[in-house]
Amino acid sequence: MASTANKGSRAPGRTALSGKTKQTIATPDGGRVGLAITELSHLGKINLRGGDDILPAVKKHTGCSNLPENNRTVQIGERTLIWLAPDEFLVLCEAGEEAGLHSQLMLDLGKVHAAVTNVTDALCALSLRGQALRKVLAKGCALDLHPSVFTAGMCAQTILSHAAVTLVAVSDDQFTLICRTSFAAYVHDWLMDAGLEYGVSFKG
Amino acid sequence: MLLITCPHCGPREESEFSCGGEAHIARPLAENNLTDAEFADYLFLRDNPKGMFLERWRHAAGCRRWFNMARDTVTHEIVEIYPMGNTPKSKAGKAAHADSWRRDTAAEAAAKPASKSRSKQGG
Amino acid sequence: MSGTSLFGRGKKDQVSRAASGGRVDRARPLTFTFDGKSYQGYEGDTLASALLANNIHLVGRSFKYHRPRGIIAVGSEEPNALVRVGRGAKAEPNLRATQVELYDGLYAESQNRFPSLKFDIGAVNSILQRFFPAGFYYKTFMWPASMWMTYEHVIRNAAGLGKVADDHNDPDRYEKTNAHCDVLIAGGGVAGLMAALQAGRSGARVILADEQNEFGGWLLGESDTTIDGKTPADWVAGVVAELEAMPEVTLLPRTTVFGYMDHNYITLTERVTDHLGERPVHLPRQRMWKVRAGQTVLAQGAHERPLVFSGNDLPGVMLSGAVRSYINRYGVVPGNRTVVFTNNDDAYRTALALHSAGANVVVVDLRRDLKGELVKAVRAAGIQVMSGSAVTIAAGTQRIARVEISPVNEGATEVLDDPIHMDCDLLAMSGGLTPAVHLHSQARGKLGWDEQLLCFKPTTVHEASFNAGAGNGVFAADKAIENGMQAGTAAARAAGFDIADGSAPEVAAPAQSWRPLAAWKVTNGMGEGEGPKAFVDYQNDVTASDVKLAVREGYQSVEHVKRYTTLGMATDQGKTSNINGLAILAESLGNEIPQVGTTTFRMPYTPSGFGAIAGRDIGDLFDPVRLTRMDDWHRANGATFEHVGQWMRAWYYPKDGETLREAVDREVLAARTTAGLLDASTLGKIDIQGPDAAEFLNRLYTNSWLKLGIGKCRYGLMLKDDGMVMDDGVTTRLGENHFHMTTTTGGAAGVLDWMEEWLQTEWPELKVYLTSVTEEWSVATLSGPNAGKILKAAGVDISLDPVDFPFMAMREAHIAGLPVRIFRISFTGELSYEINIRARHGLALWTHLMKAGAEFGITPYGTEAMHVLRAEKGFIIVGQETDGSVTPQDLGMDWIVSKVKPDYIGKRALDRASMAADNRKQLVGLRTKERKQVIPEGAHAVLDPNQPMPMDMLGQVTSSYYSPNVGSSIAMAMLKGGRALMGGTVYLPMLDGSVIEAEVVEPIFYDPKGERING
Ligand SMILES: [Zn+2]
Repeated sequence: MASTANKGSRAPGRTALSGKTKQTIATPDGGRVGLAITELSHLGKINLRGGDDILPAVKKHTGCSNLPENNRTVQIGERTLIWLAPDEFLVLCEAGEEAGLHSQLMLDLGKVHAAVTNVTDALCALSLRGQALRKVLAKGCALDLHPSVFTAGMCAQTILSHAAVTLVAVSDDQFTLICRTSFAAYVHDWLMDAGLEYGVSFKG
Repeated sequence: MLLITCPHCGPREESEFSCGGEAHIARPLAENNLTDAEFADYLFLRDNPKGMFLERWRHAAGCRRWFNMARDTVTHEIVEIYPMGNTPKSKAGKAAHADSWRRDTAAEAAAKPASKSRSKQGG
Repeated sequence: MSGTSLFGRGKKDQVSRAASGGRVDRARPLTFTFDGKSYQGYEGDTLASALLANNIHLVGRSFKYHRPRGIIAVGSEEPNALVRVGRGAKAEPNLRATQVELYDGLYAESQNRFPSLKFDIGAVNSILQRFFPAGFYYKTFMWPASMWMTYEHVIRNAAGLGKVADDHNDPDRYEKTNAHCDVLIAGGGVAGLMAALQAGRSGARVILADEQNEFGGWLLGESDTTIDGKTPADWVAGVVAELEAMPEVTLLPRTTVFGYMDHNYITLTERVTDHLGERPVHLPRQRMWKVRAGQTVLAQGAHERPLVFSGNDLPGVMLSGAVRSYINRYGVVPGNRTVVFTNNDDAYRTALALHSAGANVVVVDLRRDLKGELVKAVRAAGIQVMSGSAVTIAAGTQRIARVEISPVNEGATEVLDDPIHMDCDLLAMSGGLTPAVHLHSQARGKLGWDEQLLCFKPTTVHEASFNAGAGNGVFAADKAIENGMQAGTAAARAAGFDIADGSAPEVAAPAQSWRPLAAWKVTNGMGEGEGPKAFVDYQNDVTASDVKLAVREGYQSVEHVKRYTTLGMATDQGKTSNINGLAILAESLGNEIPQVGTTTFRMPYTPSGFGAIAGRDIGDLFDPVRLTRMDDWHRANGATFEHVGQWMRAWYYPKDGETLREAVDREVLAARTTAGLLDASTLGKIDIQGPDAAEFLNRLYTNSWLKLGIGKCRYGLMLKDDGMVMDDGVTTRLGENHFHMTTTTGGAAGVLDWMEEWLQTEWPELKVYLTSVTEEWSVATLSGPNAGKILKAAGVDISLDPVDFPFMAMREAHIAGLPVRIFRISFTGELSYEINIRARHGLALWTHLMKAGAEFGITPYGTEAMHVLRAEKGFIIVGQETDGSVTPQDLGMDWIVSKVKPDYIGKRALDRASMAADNRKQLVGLRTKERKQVIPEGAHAVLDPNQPMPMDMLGQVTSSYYSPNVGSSIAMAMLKGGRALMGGTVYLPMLDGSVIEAEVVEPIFYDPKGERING
């Protein structure tokens, strides 16, 4: 078993969309690709709950000096804090760093009423880029996604077609989409279909 | 379809919310010794007024937080959105709260004095 | 175009097309097919204008009487010309020919006729029309109720509109989208365009939608009007160009605003590629827009009313304004010998247009004192004008051929002299204008009666909305354009944008009075109901006599008359018929129109296909399917699946040719003789953290939780506050303030919401945080006497000795070097390990266990075997044994209900007197007398199978299986007073008349002492 064990511990494991193939469907008129979808494989994700007293520990491990305001994100280097609810945040970190970050936060928040939960494998993160990004999302999302309303740095938990998603506006034409892994295949299929009008591609 | 302003997330479509029905229903404890009929006021009876109604809503597809809403069931005007545990501040909301038959129920009476000692009730 | 077609083409191509004029492109001829014959039209035509260009007026049969009907209108208000367009699966019925844009190869058929349009068997209804009065369906088909199905079949076949393609899925692509704007403008005529321009200039986000293929509305059909010195078309082109250059303005031609809901939620259907013969595959055919608008401007325009006279439904009888539009906009002259019949000035413009186009024209005007510029102009052109007169009867077979014209009194209720007869091939009628207030009314805006214009128009709005133009009762172009400008300005300001008032463009148009004469039903000089019918509602075949009959039969409310006569209930929503119907009703009731009031306007404004409403919510995208991380293995190994909520779970794993029963028997036996492996990843999992976590669980569950040791698991039952079971599951204490809860697969989301609700609304003082970790962990449940051996073979790095790792405990360990949490809990009664692993390794764990267990005959089992295994042990499934009306006591689970806790959710409700009643349904087991016989689930039990119907039911079988381990069938049932029946016999009558006999037993069939739990 030893060899299996070692192999197992080193193996990165599968992602929610490991089974989906790389694909590009350009528009028939001019071969445009208005939306490029990339799975952010194994991106670290920690769900964090607590009041203002979690800030020192959060600051220590993410570098951010303030917790994000409502509907906003704070990004410091590779780590991003996403506001989810009045006392709830999602911390994104480098792939493979989540276990360490989780135990560090647990340790430093030991005396505070807080909850730290590793949800790296529970959630799937996709990077969405392209000129048609907002138009494609509007087909299934009732949020006002106008670039002057949903600006870079904003986030929202909402519905995309029939799936609950968290949208993060990274820039005018780049979003991060986060959903439960059990809905990832559906979200992938829906995006590939909705993107047909503008051209769409996926890679894992 | 209503446009509801979540106190935390801002205006969102009604389809992102779930309605939790009538607000401000005090929950009697088992130890309050209400009669079955008095307990039924809490358990079964719900208002369905034509006009101002105080309701509980939850931003189910967003922040998952509960809040109260004073809504006119005829015009669908949302008069006020206020936190759980609070009573309405608007004139119409205050009136709806004060005028509710619930203010006179045994369940409500029982909940009031008990509220201070309710933090630990396990055994 | 080659001009050759399958059917050949008549020589008289486009015989009614003017040599020049109109907005059609004569350089781009298009070929189309109508009822099997090939015709030619031009780019820019609608199907209606192209048919009229070919002198085709007869285009359909009416709904009830199958009367020949022609095109009467030019826009979406058309009640008659409904056609089916396209072939096979792509065919779409009930399209208004006036809205179908012509493209090369367009294929259309008339509807509601059999066997052909010109000879229609159903027209016999017309001869029998005395027998089809108002309320006919209600009177005839009321009773007996048992015959309704037969009647309905006959009615549906005889009447009804067009048919959709049978047995085909619509192959076209449809989409939906959401949009937000500051100002949405419905209607792109001059008023809507001006509103859009003002709002657009203010910087607001604007959506301008119009149902036609180009903006400009009614004025595109006027040749006698200029705006800022330009033709309407040129002026429109300039405005559209300016709007197109504004980045925040979205122009949506071919888009119908069909619904107006609360808080300015507006629905639109855009016909994206309907007008194209070749449709690009990446574009939807239609798209539904769901718009949340800050403000709206409703500039829907107005509809011209027909005049109600005998024979007014003959093909060749058209609305006056439509005739003018066909001439000016499409270059089509729909008749040569024409009669213009009017109660107002506007029809004089049509008379002039017909005259200019070379037609012979006579004007018949109900009014006596004729004055004004237009009348003068018409007389100056040498056109005969007959004042104080009416067309009392129009006659012809499949097209109008002649009219009788008589002098009439002021209200046209009496004929004053003998008629004169006149031959004609076209009658243009004008009964005044009705503002299209549909959206305003859908949005609960109020209407007021205008005594001058004889119409209802908007008074006060309910939503954030402004009315403008003809839809606001402002008919004159110069006033409408100004009104649109004001509305656009006001809407932009209300949306928070700054804009100066500006000055409206100069409009030059003939001066005219917009006041019609009130003459709602023109007599034909005969008795009531005598002579040819005078139609009010063309689409539903409702006549003036039908309305009067309804009143005679006692109907007074407009809503009742509407339903009784079906007036205004057709797909055109009474756009042309509403006011005429109301006026005739008011007259019959001896009441005023405003007192009679209007009926409720409902969406859709025009019918919207289900395709666009469904969008891409079809097929695989209809509902998400949630898959576990082991799914690939299940598929590769031939699993059959079942839906559990949105999850897709492995149901059973048939080996070559096995039936469900054979496969499940094998899986169930394996789990009790060696080991089975179940994918339990779908169980809901909730991470609970906080100093009050134990206290919270103590209030949530019926049993006690404060003293549960760390690393220990406990089964819990959750009740609603009415005392009824809502969910169950095992919760494990991971740390002093940290728990891991499992819920049923189907209950996961509901339980989390439930817990959040209590924390947020009832017990905010409790310091507890909940986080769903359902998908974080993949779960493989290894169950059976060899489970421990297999786990060892798989390389688990902890002691499995029951002393070290007892039942209802959790251990962290490694398997194959991967960290796992192992829960020693059991839903089978066998030695079981629920192994949780980070989901990325779920598939690896599964395949590793299958490999390690191979030498022991490890057998994967699905949900069906899981059900049998737990039923053998008498374990309930919430939602199968329970239905929201079952208490723990009913389930015989008093043992899990704390007697000492002062409160928990449901406690007080369980103390209600009614909960202790003897005749509550209680959980029992059933042992069939014929031991192999499996009772169908849902079967009802009775004490005496020979009692008369309806029988006294005891309750129902909730779970029933064949158990290979027991060697017989097993069943669980919820029976009234079930426990008192223990040892007795119940009977289960089957649909085929047979009766199953069963003994009532304890609901446990295997290992009743629980001796197998340690393997
Ligand atoms: Zn919210």
